[in-house]
Amino acid sequence: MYRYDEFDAAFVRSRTAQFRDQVARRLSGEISEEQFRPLRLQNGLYLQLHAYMLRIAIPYGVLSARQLEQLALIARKHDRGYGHFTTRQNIQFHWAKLEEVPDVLDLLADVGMHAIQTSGNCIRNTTADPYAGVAIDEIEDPRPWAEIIRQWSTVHPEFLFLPRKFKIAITGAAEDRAATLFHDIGIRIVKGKGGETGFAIYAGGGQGRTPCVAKEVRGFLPKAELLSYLEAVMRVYNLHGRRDNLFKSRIKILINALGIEEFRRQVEEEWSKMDRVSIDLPQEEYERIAAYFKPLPLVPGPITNEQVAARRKSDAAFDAWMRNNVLPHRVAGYGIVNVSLKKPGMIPGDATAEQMDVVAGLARKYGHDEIRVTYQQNLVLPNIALADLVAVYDTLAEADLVTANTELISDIIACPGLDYCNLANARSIPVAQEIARRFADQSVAEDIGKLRLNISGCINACGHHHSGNIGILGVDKKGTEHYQITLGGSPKDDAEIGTILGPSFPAEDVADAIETIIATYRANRLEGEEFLATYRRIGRDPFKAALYGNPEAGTRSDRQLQEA
Amino acid sequence: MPNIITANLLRSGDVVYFAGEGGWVRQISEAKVAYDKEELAELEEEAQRDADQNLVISVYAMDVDLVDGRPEPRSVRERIRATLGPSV
Amino acid sequence: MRIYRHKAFVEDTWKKIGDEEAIGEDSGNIVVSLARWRAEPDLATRANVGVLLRPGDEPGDDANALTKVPLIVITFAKFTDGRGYSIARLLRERYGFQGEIRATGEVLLDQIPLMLRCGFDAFEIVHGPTIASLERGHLPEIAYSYQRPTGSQRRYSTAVRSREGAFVTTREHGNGAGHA
Repeated sequence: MYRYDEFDAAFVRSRTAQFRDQVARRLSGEISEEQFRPLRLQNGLYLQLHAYMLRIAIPYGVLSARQLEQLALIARKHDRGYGHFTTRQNIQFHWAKLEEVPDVLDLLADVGMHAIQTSGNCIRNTTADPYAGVAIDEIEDPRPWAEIIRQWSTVHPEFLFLPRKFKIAITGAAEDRAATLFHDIGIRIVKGKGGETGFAIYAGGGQGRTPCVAKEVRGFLPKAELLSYLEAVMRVYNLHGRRDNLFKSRIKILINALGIEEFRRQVEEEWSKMDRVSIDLPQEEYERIAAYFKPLPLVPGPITNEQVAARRKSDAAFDAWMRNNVLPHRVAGYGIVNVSLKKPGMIPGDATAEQMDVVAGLARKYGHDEIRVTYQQNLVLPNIALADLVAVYDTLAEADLVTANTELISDIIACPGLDYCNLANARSIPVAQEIARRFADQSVAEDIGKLRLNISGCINACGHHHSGNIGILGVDKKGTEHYQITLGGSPKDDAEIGTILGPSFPAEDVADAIETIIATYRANRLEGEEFLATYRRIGRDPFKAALYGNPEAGTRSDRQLQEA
Repeated sequence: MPNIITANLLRSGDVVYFAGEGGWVRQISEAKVAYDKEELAELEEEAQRDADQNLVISVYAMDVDLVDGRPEPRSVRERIRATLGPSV
Repeated sequence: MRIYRHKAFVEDTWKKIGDEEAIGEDSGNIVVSLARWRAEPDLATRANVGVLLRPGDEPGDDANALTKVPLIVITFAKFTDGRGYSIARLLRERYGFQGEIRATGEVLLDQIPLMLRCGFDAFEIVHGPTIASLERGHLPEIAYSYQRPTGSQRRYSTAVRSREGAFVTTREHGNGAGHA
């Protein structure tokens, strides 16, 4: 994985010193809050419901054990002993203090981390497939390019005051595990006509008030030309994106207004005029960076292990964990271990400092020092040998990190919601907890099978509810928390935005509604058919009818019909 | 109406409520209540001085209900905020 | 009005002329809006006429003609409006503009290093604390940059380009500092 060299380290130290100076000038009153706010946002510091929130970048979701241990230390020393992993593969600390943040940034700089551009109207953390480099369906490892994009976009002087935030995601596998089509720019590694790999470039995806699936801007771009092409897109957006209305400032609005053909024309025209040689990386620089991501020298081994097999027979929980949370690795005899942060009853995506230390320790001892953060707000130990799985499981189990629900209904993606966030209309965590509780039974959850359930506490959609197979959106209905349910979204190659089923539900009825939806699915599914496929086959009506349609079903339905 | 003023301390980010001469307090029940527009305007002016002195940020007025003469938040958001932590 | 240029405050020798104001034969150094400059082509023939770009103005088809003016002033109505950074970069890098590029409007201390890197030379500043900081010689810049600088540091970037357009400029200088 990438390690900061002298230059990167000096850069981050310099930036930390700069922010320390900016904080001092704010505290002394030399700059006002209005002038300080964009600066603090560019360093990842938000003012939230209860306190400042510091969002730390985890570039393309990759962490070393040392870095994770440092995050644990920061959680203990400067926060309340825990952190929250986000849908952008970042970590958030919810109890930051402005006067301590420069010290926190120094601690981060010590391990080659920072909070630069995790907020504000600038290019944010570029996210990637969490299984990059180890997935069996990988075409090419996207991480070198994710690192290159990171460097290019960091304090890029032309693009720090964009019309709005800008999010880039990149994937290099057959399955899109980075939700690229819901990003401002989505980059996919594809094979060209001659068998060489290049990039398919998509733009204008997003969640929020106007969810959009990204449109193809360029079907094949030679890899060496990525940065200049990105710069062309950014410049068109910077110059022509709307700045008059906060809710109409994303690039998706510009693309929809111009139409994809005109947008593409503007980008290609800009690109054609650029002095690309001075922007695109020389081959040696690419190779220097790519060298950090060479595959580990893992020795292939047997794909069966006696200890694992025996334990699977005798321990149902371990068996379920193997079945759900351990995925096949590129190298025979290894597994990709999903570390679930979704134990029913806990806050989805949160990890305590102790839990972080446990995962870091396992990465050190068994995992070649590497951890990943997923878009679904879980962690991953991507390189665990089969022979070590039992030991890893037992250690994780002691720390409550073995819920066997990867990609199942209780693997809920949820934003922090009104419990933490200034923007929220409603709480998302208690809703997630109740749903997880209802589906905590392992055999029930596995019978339901793969299902993405996403919860957002407001229309900003940080929980990505639009792309959930089941999406739940918190709304404010006459001052009380209500929840609107959508069905049929997907964040993958078959990207789709979910459709609203009907009127919203009060908080206490949401879990019942989800149970009704699941019951409808089970009643109608074909053998082996997953939720999304059933929904696409039978459509919205059976679900709508089950939730709202029957006036004789009782007071709940009556109330909802009245609200319709 | 009635209203109180709330903000966050600049340095720590702590949620605080304006208690007039009592300064800024953590417990909403101790906040000074404004019963009409004039009182609110006065309270806002005083609170703004502390913002200008870089003590607090994000100063705003919020609706309250009076229970036993003490202010309690009216909105869900402010109810959660007044507990000084998440509901979970 | 004093202008901050090359790390010092100097008197402004240019006068902004409104769109309706009369322009005499010996008006001295004047700055007119892009709209006026386009509408009155004879202004382009005068040596002492600079052009003011308002937010949203783009050189467009006049870019080449604009390269001959001595001064271009780019307006930041709000410091959060980032269009000026792209305009300045385009003027320097694409059109080879060699004259002065000046920032006006809401120009604040923390944006000045970014503007310098995009090709701005000079700054009209009204914000008191910014002026005070600059008078103390305090400019909060980062000495390291991942992107090649432009504009008034053109000589530096040309030297870098001779190293085959190295993307991360400062790497080539050992562990040294970034732009000049």
